[in-house]
Amino acid sequence: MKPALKKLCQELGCPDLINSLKQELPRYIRANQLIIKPEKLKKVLEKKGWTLKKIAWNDYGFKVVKAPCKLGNTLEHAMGMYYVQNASSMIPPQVLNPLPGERVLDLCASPGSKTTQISMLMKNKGVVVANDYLPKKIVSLLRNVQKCRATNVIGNLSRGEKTSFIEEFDKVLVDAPCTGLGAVHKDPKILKTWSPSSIKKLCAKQKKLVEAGFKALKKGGVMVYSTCTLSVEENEGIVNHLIKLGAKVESIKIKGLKTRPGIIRNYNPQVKKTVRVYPMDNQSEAFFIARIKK
Amino acid sequence: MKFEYMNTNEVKKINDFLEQRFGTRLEQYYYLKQRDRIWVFSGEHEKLEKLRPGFTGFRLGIIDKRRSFKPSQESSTLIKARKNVLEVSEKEARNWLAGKDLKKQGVDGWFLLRTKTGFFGVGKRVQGFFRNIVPKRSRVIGFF
Repeated sequence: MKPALKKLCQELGCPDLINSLKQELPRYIRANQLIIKPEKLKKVLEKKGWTLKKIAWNDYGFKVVKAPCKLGNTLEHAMGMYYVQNASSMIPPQVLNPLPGERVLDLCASPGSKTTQISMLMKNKGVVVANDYLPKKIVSLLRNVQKCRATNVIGNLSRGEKTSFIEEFDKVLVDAPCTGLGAVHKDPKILKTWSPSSIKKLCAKQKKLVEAGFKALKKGGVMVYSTCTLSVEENEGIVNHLIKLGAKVESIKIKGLKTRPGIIRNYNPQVKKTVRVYPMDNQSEAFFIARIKK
Repeated sequence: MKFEYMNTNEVKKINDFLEQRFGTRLEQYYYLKQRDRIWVFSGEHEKLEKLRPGFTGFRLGIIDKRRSFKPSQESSTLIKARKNVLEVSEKEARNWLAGKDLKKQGVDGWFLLRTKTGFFGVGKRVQGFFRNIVPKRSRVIGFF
């Protein structure tokens, strides 16, 4: 193991964390409430030999205990009745809590799992501006938006850090590009490419993204910053940067989800209100989530 | 890609088609066009000049070369049709989504396709025969 990784695990108080990250995780699906009720989806799939177990921290996510086929190869998936989405990835939109009628910005939207979840939570009412910077990313975003029958999403082609929205949104989600340690179970190569220099490079981008997101937020609005990595610099470090810009960090409590508090280091003590989700606690991907108020 | 709000007459034409063919109207949406593509949007009236939209809302269909409206495959989930809905077996639905044609007797014209569980596509019957119109990139191979 790289010394920097070992040091990180020690700092996080979980020396065995990397091994947990490598372990295979259960698969999860999210019922698309714009098309079908979760209970009905469960019945339909269980008739076809699936075994589903509701996840503890929301009403529409299921752990796939048993499936007779690949999750994306069913008629129900083609009909947009469910979306294959990791359980941890469902948390940021849940923490954002978008309401029908609000204006929401998803700054790094593609491929659209969180965008379509936001649209679902808003019951297709209000506006979601889903931003990404490559045309091919907008195309994959559109494909998922169409499939999920989301009608209130605008796919905006722009570099997230260069967007010029000023106090226009009630809610902003910045699910930033990161070193992705949480996804090691899917791609073990991440451990090889992970390095302090890659963190430094991404941190610069993450800072610009949160600055743009924070600027786009109305006064009193809520922004959620999330990553699927564990590095303190990419997580609490970025939140600390936001605090310097005048942001306030809010506590996150989700019933049924086991979380760990943020790492303070030499940062503002408010960062302790952010949460870390570890695979060994919830059988889901590692994630970091911060709820910020302007 | 330039998106423009459609005027009342243009929107009426599409809704007339939907009413005549499927017995329903979709009047709760804003309608936008981008070249030949028609989009419906359920949000607020957005000032699009400030954005660089790659898409706006849901792609309802296109206006083809003969200036008639052609609904998109996904529009079947949005149009709450009261008529011209064709219920097929799951096997037929899988075959359709994999790119195969569908043989069903009856009158010609546009149909929304569904199984017992839900809608999955749109097809046009010509001479008692549905030639597959699922775009190649959207086809699902290796269905369960």
